[in-house]
Amino acid sequence: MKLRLIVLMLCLAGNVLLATALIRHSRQAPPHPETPAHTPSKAVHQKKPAPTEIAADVAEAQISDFQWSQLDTPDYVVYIARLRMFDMPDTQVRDIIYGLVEAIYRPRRGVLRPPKKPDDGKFWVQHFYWGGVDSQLTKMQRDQMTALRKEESDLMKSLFGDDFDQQRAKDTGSEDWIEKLNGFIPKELRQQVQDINQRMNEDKQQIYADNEGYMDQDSQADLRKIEKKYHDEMAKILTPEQLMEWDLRNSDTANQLKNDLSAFDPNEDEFRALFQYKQAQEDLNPSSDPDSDAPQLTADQRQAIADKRKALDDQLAQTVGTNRVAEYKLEQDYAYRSLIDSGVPKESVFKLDEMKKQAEDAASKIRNDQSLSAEDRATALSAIRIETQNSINELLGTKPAKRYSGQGGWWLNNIAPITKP
Amino acid sequence: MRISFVILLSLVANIMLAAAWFRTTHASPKPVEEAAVIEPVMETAASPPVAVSEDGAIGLTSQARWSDLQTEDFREFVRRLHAIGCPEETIKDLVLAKLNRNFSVKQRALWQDNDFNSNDYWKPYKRQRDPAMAKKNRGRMHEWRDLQKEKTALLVELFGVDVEKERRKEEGFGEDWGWNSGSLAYLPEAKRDAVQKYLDDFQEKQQEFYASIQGAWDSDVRAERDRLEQEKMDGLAQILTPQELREYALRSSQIASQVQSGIRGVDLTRAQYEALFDVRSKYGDSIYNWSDEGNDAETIKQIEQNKKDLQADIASTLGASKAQELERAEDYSYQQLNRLAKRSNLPPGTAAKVYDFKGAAEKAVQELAANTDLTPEQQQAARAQIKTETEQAVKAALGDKIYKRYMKNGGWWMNNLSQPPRHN
Repeated sequence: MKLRLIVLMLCLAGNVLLATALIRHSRQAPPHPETPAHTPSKAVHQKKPAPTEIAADVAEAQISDFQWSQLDTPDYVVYIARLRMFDMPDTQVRDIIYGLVEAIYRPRRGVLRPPKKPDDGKFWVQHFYWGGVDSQLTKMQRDQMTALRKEESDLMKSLFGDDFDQQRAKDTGSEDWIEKLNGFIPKELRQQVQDINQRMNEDKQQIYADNEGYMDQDSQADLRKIEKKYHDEMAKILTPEQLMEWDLRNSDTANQLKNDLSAFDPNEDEFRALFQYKQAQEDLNPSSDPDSDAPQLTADQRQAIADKRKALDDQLAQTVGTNRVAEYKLEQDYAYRSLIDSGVPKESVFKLDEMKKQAEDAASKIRNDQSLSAEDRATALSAIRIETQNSINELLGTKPAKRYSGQGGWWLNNIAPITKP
Repeated sequence: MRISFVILLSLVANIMLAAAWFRTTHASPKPVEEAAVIEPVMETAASPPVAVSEDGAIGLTSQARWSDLQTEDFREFVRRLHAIGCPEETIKDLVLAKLNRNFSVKQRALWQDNDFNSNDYWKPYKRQRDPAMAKKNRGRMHEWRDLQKEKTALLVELFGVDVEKERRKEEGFGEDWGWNSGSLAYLPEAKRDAVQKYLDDFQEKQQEFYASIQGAWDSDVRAERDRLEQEKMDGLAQILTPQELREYALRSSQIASQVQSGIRGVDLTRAQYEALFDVRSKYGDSIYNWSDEGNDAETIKQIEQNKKDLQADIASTLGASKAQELERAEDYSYQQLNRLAKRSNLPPGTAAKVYDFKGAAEKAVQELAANTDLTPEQQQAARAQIKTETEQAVKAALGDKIYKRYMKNGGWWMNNLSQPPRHN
């Protein structure tokens, strides 16, 4: 009888427990069947932030039978598959695998970097770091670094596809520079183009290293030689149109042009026309090879070059318009460009150029006037200078006028020297 | 009998309740937690709901999913990952990646009106000379640094270390990575933060000044520059002892910067550097003939005399040989020659040797010009001979190939040796 009573009590207790569990489960999202509700994990005793408390309970119940070791494996391919099966978005899958691969390659790159020299206390010795973090590496170390980077890149591409870099750019929210700079190149050629570009940059880096960042005429000639070598290589895999697009975005000519056109502010058509003009001008005046003698041109050859230059000028005027060409030529003067960049209206700069011409003409007439004594001539030239200076001050304002006299206004000193008040 | 019936009923009820509970738990929808994912789902892998893959090799027996771990709260996210035994380095990778994504969004927002996303290859590079825009950009830089600090603080809170710093170390970049790191290491540690803060604040003032002058460089600008420099030193004097201030001046003052840029390649001891610094400090700007000053002949003469006095002072302090070495180091033609020799792997001392040939040849030509006993023809013949001998000596020192390069870049002076001197 006593035993029956105990069994009855147990059965009733079971009824209550199961009924409670059923009610609770129907009130909130239940965990997976294997998961006993609210089984505390080892971390559950930590104090949780209030807003996430309930959600955390549920999630923990959901994953309490789960350990990362169920996913983890040294085989990246299997690991990726398991992470995907775990419903992990590809961004995080890449974060994890890239993190693991980086953990291998980071120290390997670190070994290549020479340890920082102990401070010798010679704070007065200036060190010039001409180009990035790896500027202190030897050529061999730079080559090894490049090889390591390629190895890592190849591994990532073998796991996630050839467009891993683009995926990664998207993941990290950074610019997709490859697409931005090479979007016009057919995908199947991009890797080759990138490789050529990379080899060119490595060769250029060596020149910067050899020169400790000081690029004189000689080293610039070396740079141009290298650029030409790799440009020729690129011309073998790209069509002329593709090569032109590449040059418009990446060449030194384009970069220089972008620098020189800060005040001109071209539209796309103007930029393309000016680029072609500049490139053709450069071709007419190829930089001399530092290791060979410049060819001596005959009078006919010189005339032919002058004719070609004229034809290029005419062609540019037709494409861009005479006024814009005049503006372009004026703004090739750094001092004028600098004034416009600092907010002086373009019209004022055109007027300034006009003033310069008038003042120089007037000064020339006075110099050639044999009827004047030396003293009268000096007085007249000085008067032109003062008058012109005053006009410039009025036109530009005191501060820009002062700056102009220090940058491009040297011609005023040629009219007459400055006199201290 | 009655009890047995009740037991039976209770058991039946237990079975029914258990069955109902079992069915409910299996039929339950995905947890509501999914609404709180912290990562934007770029692409979700089309994984089957089953736990075992086709080949059976990559089976995942749990029903748990990545979304179960998601929360907006980084601390909670880390806790959950720890709870399921996720490796520490993977947790760091996930958190750092997420933080960097957030950081990148904020950074782009900061610079959104600066053509950050422009794909217009034809747009020119803009030089920013507008003081208001320069100020705005400095403000952005401050915000950017604050964001970085915020990120670092969170990483330290979550992991006890600055994960990025650790990784930079592993990458071989050492402790003092960053534009200004370690530059105050010579000061007592207790004062470094205060000095750094003072210098950062002062730099704001200096940048404002340089933005306002818009590239101008006249006497007013120089006077204001000097006033600011003095103000900075006065401010530092409030924090540093005289000796510490002296150390700062030796390293980072305006004069220090001028001295240091002129001694490249010259081996000096600390005592020699300090002596040079002190001598140079005495002369200040008095050795410069600023073009905007419109100096008359007398003033220019005085400036030239100041330069000579400075050289003499240096010679009497450091010795004639060191003074000569210092003078040579400041000469552009020597610097050019030295770079050519270095990159061509010529033996050490080659540049100095050629530089000495230059000095000797030019001196000989000057002496020749002063010699009134010679006829113009004799003068010309003597100059031609000096030129030929010098060319041969330089060629022997550099080798034919490098000589050819030198003649195109810096070696023009040899052509001038045979030119008749110009009389003004």
